[in-house]
Amino acid sequence: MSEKRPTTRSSLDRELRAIEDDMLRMGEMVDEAIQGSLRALAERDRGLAQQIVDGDARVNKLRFDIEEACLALMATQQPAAGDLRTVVAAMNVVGDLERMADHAAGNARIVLRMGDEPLLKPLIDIPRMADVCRSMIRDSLQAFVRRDGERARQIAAMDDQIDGLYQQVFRELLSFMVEDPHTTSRALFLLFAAHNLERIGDRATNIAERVLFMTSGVMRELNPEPRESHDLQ
Amino acid sequence: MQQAARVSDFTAMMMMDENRAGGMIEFEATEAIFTRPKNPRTEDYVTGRFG
Repeated sequence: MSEKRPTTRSSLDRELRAIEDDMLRMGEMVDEAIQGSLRALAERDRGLAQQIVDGDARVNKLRFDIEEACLALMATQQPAAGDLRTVVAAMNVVGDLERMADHAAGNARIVLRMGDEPLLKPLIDIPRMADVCRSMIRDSLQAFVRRDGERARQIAAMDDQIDGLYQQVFRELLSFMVEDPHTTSRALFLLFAAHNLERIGDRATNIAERVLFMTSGVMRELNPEPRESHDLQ
Repeated sequence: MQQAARVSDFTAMMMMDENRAGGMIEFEATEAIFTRPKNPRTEDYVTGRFG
């Protein structure tokens, strides 16, 4: 027996790499959508907002293409162990990326719905939330490609920053609405935008969880506190 | 190998080295061997890296 003998893995490796490349490309599209929707909000650029809303269909299509590639790989290569976990993780990750793009498009729709109403307040914490989201997405996808479970754990911890910023935005906007109910609609626009980013952070945590599953075989939540509680505040 | 995965409840991974044949390097529920083997040589075998 020689471990140097040629194996039948070459097409499996090639297909796995293609799936990862497409997943990274999808991550870049999501990153651009988040960045663009924030710029559209800050600059009240409705043209850019419309572009992001329209561009969401490309993300959705790429998600289906990647899922089909995963299915074809499973049917034809019968992957096992780490390979199987990689394919299953990739299918989950592209689902999370697709939902993140929906949230970014949601923020672009907010810009369209705001019309010419001025922003209630300057954007400070919301762009910070977006920056942390973008770092989490970029780093978690890199951790996926590098099979770096330890990095995935660190990335999941970054979600606490997003949750903290969201709490801050929530309290601030609530005080505006309490003091002057006429500000309610403008406050709600910003609150929805922050909420979308908070959801993106949770989805990025899901990716980190999938990286940990892929590298260790262990499936568990990295931030086990009830994250959905924000929805009720 | 796929047939073994399909019909068995438990799987043993046995290998030959310079000193002996049939040394058991891992024994687990079949589901564990084919999804999250602990021994890297089992991982390499079930993922087609050798054999």
